[in-house]
Amino acid sequence: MASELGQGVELIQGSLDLIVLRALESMGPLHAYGLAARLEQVTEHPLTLNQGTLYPALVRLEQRAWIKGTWQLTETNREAKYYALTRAGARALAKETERWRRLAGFVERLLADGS
Amino acid sequence: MSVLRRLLRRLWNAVAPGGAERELAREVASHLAILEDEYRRRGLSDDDARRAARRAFGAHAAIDRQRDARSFVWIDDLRRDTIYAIRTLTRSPGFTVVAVLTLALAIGANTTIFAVVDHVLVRSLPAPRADQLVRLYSSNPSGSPARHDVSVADAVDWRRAATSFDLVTVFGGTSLTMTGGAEPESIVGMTVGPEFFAMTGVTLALGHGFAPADYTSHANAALGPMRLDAATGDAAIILSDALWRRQFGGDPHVVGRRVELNGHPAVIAGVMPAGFQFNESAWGVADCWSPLVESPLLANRRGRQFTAIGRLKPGVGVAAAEAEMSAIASSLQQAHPQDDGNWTVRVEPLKASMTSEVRPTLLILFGGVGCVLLIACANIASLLIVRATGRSREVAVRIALGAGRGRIVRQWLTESALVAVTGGAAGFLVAVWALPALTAYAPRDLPRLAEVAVDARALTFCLALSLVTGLVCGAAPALVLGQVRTDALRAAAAVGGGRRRWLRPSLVVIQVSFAVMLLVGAGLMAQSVLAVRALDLGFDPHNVLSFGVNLRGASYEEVSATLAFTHDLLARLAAVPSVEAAGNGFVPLVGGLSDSFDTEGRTEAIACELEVTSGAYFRALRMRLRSGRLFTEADTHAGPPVAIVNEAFAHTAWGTGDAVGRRVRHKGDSVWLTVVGIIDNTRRSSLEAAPPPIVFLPLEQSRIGMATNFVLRTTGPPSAALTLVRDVVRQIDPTQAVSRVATMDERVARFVVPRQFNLWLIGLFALLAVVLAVVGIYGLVSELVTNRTPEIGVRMALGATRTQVIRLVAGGSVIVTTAGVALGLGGAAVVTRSLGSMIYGVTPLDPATLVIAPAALVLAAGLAAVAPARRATRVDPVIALRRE
Repeated sequence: MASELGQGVELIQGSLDLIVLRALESMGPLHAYGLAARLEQVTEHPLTLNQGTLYPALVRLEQRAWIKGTWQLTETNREAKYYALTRAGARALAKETERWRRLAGFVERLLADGS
Repeated sequence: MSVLRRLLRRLWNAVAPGGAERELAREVASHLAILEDEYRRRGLSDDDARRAARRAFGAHAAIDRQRDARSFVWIDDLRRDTIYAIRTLTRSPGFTVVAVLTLALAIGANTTIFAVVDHVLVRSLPAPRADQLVRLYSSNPSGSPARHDVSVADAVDWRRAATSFDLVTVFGGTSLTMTGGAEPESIVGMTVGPEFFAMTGVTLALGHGFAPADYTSHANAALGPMRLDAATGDAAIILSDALWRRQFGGDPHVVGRRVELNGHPAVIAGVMPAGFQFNESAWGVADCWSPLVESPLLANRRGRQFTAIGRLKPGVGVAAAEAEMSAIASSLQQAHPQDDGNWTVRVEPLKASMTSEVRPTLLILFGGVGCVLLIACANIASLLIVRATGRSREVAVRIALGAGRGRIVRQWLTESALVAVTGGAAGFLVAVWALPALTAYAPRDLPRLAEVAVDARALTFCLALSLVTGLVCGAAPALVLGQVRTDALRAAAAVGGGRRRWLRPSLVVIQVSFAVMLLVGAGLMAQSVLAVRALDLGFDPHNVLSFGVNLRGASYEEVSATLAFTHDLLARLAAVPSVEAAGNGFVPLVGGLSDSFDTEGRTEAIACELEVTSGAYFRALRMRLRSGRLFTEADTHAGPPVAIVNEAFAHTAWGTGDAVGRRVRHKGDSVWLTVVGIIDNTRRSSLEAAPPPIVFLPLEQSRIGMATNFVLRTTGPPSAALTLVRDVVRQIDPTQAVSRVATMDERVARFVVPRQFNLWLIGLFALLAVVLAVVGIYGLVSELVTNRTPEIGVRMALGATRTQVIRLVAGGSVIVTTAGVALGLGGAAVVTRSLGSMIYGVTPLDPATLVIAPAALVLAAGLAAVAPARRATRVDPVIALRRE
């Protein structure tokens, strides 16, 4: 299950929410499939992300009212639920990004010290 | 979205997950469709594309985790547990039906009795600040009873002196003959002071009520107990709703109308609201209310026939009020040594004093019905344990798969709670149906009976009881399941070999002991009913009609007029062929007139009852003449003065029943009367009180105008004679009304019915208890046989006899039953002592009851054990061993 670096990345707990919010901010409204495809695209390493992880994140975010889903038609004329960032979501993204950067910087410093 | 809205959404999703679930399914479908499109674009066939899409999407199982994020886990668990419980319960309909029915009966019975207890004992009276109302009694420590009514003179002094109350009101009962309505009617009046309306807070349905001047008017005083004559002006009355409808057809313009009360003119001042009654007096349910005029009553400090009620000021307790009243009473003792000699005052909360007679009975019934519920609980718990043991493999599997024990226990509790709540709902229906039946047969003297109904409080009680029952019942299997271990899954592991084997037998012991207690109680009450029925009344109540005519009006102020009426009525009635005998005199079981007589050869007078009557009275009641003769037509003023005494009097006076020829005289009178006959003792004021001494005087020789009561022996059904009586009275004087009508059988029944009622209820509870206990024993033995069939097979193969097998199987139930009976008898010995007046003519430790009740139970238990035990003896060793 666990993979070596280079083959795939296991998501750190709590990071998925941030990733989804950021993707929606940069790409505009996306449906779940589009979101998954986009995440696979942007990461250098293919992200092991199955729908069983993505959907709970979407439900969770929608419940917090950070994203809002509406039913629309895709370019292939399929109906799909498009998620868009809400204003609360944008605020949360800014805060979460800040928090993440601090945490990442801290971990980075810790790792640099240890090596 | 606010926190609250999110919470609500989650809650909604938990309760009704359908909407969110559908939304998710739609999204997943759309996702799959897009994936399929993608794969088709890459050149896959339709089928391959669908398969690939599914593979790529991943397991559907993940949806469960999303549900967790959506709702409260525990509500969701509860929902799933409920569905699971419904499924398992419908899979074993036999258990479910038995359990639900048992609980429906038990909870229904409890709810019914609760409704009665709640309305009669618990709820406040319908009056403002009702819990501050107290009843004031006069009390004479040297005499019995301890509580007497009060005189107006005393009450007025109390009101003047006491600071504990913000009001003290006095009221009395009176009987009035009303003419001017549809027809003459003898009605019960309540004479009330002005504070009565403030105390009850009643608002009249019609009219403005009494004016201040009404409480001092001579006309109203004339209606009071003192019966002043030569009244001028109009009296005032307020009608009860029932009287208003009966006599005036519910006429909305009745206020201001003039009627005659006892021949005096009176104006209707108002109509009470429907159902209004406050503290029914000894006179019965009030038909009307009239103003109490206090001034003429102040002279008679010994006329202790009024009810006094006070309302305590806020913050004043009963004890403080009683202390103050004692001080006031002792100053009254000094001021009026003749009348108030050693009289003190007793203060009791009004509701408690109203219900003091029925409280023990109701509480005992409540306890009895509670026992039934406990037994039912034990039964259900027992059944659930069997189910739990049977399903321990299932539980072991679930534990092995990682289910927490708490989770499993919770699921079992859900199942038992579901059974209990369903049983409770059915029980509520039982109560709705049973309560009217109960109140229809309940003794009439139960206070506030008309108010009793199944209502929201009863529903709450029912619901709470159901939930508690569910938890209590579910706790037992939870105990068993708490120790299921996964080794139960090993192929050869014995099923149901838990360490808590003592649990079910203990439950049966409890059942048996409660059943024994109820049986003993029912037995004692049955004996009491038999004892009361077997009482020698001293008269024959069958085919006797009793009634009264209150002669009212100016023409009956002379005693001679009353006598003339009585003669005329008796003569006319006696002439009717269907009348065997018609006499006047006090009606047995209603009460009499207290008096005292001197006897020859004794210095102190004998307290006794006085009866002025004729020979026909004895014949009408078929009272038994011991020796001498009855009164004859010759016993007039012309003849020598005579008397008849009863045995009790003769024995008290002379220590012998052979007293014909001895002489008695009215205490302090100069004329000696010769005893010409001795009559057997009769029950007078009540069925159960010992017969009092009585002196009978002939009507023709008496100078006392007696209240006019009559007894009539008929050849046919006595109630049919009522029309005849009414006709005859109307012929003599159309303004007089017949009242106090009842057959003597009915009067006897009034004393027997409450006992029978209690007996029926406790008997019913006992029957339920025994049936449940027997079912419990049957279940225990039956399960034992099933579990030990292989062992029995081995034993039989090794040569065990049938007797030995039966002993093996039934031995346990004998021990359980014996232990239960022993416990039950011990409990009964303690409990029956508090039965008090519920038992009569039998001691609480009546040996016959204490032997028969447990014997009946042991017999029933034996029968219950026979069937499974016989099954055990038919075990075929070969088959049993093959099963091993």
